[in-house]
Amino acid sequence: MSDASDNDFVLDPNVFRTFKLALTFKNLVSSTDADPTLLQLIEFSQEDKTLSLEVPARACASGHSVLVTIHEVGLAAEPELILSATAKVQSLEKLDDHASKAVLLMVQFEEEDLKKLIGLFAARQESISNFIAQSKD
Amino acid sequence: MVSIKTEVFTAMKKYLSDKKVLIADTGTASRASIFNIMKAMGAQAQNITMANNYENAEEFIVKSKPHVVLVDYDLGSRSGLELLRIQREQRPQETKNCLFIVVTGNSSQSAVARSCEEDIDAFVLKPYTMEGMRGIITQAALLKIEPSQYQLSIDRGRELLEKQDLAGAENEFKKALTLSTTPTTALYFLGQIEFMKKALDKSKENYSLGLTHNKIHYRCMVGLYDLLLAQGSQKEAYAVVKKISQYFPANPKRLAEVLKLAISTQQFEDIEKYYSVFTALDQRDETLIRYICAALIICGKYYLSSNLGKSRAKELFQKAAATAGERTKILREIIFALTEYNMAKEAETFLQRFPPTYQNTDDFMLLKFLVSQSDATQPPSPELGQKLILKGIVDERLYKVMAQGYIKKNLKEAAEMTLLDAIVKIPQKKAEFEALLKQLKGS
Repeated sequence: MSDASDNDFVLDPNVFRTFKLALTFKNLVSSTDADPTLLQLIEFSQEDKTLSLEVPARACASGHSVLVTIHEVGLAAEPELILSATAKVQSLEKLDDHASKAVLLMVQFEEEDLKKLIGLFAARQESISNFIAQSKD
Repeated sequence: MVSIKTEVFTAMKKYLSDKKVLIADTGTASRASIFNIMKAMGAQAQNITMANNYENAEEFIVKSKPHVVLVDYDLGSRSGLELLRIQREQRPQETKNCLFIVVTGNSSQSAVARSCEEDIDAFVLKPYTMEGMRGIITQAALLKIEPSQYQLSIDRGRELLEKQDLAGAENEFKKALTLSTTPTTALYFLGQIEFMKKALDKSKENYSLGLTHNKIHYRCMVGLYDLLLAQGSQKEAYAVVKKISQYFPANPKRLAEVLKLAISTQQFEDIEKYYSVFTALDQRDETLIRYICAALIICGKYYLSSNLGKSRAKELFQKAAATAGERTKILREIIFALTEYNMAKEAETFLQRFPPTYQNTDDFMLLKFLVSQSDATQPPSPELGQKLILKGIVDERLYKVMAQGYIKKNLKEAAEMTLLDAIVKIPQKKAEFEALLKQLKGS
């Protein structure tokens, strides 16, 4: 068995770096900002142009217009803005006394930005799935 | 993206229709989202249980023995990955029909590598698209629902192996070799069988052949590593474990082995590379931190002893100190190493890294004394050490440095008294002090 070369000493750490997102959520109807620490992006869909978010209870109601931003908190000093969208709350499901799941239909946004966001996760998912499949057999 | 055909969708629905499903995730919305996906895929709502913490999930697995488990990697202070072992214990015979899937926002190298080591069925990165998540789960389930002929042969071989039927298992795995163009798993099991038969060379052959098909096959690499260690081939074992740690870097036990082997085989250059691997990790536990610091210090000492460069050694000590934070044991070792090589100025800078609360301790006074006495430009002042002895500080280095100081000042009697006192106070080092006494008397 030969020694590994320097080039494959480490898997590209960027591929396996935890991809941290910072979200903001402004309800344009009530003009209030949700606590960013209580926001979580769960799902997205390029086809439906929707984002599913965990939001604090009473952050919005069905039909409200909201402004959502998604930044990547990476190695750079400043978080990088990936997506900014004006959206309508399509559905709101109460999860418990403190949180709701909001499905947001994006109305004003850059299609390319959404593609970029989904692409980033898809590429990482693919790398991870390939690595796991290869290491098993 | 994995597209799901109708027949696959139907097969999946059938598979999930009677399966108990556990979703363990601290996020309420995340649990709800996975619940909806599993329901849409065919699981019955009444068969899906959700747990918001590790303890509830563990209790459910023990009590209800779910077939499909979806967990977040981070479940509070525990890892969801720990639940895999419990699931396997609960359903030992049915592991091949069960699914264990990690659904997490943690895509760190350590999370992925450890999940891989545990042989999970799939890893889904959050956030996800519903379609993507369904595709990944389906793909993992299909390997269980419709296994290939090769997989079936492997499963039969494993069953025979579990029953200790080595000959039967060997035949089955040899058959499996003909059913795949990349039969790495079959070669791994054949390697295992040869290892059990103590035919180490044949075992090695199988593992190595397996790795020619798939250079990162985890089990082949570990099997080969264990075998080489058993053979006492440290250098070769190091080459293998080095490779394992490239891909699976966050296993503290293994990193410790890698570092130990790197040191024993004198691959000091690699330690700096392991440090780079370490800094790239976003999860480092206490064991890992201690091992890497210790390795950096040993490496630095090696550079000092072999005259490869004081500045390089200092750089390593700085890395160790930065990693150590306020772990005083590590900082002490750095001071000891530097004072041993009379690098007082450098040692002084490390003294400043000690937390203020520590700077009132006897130990810190001892370190300050050692640093002051290692300054070759200043005359020795061993009498300062006497004050420490009077304070009740007992330390081998203290006595040695004091004795050396008295010798330099041509106070042989004082040096002798110091060494005699050392023999009384530190009897376990008697031989060393007696040797110094002998040298002193002979000079």
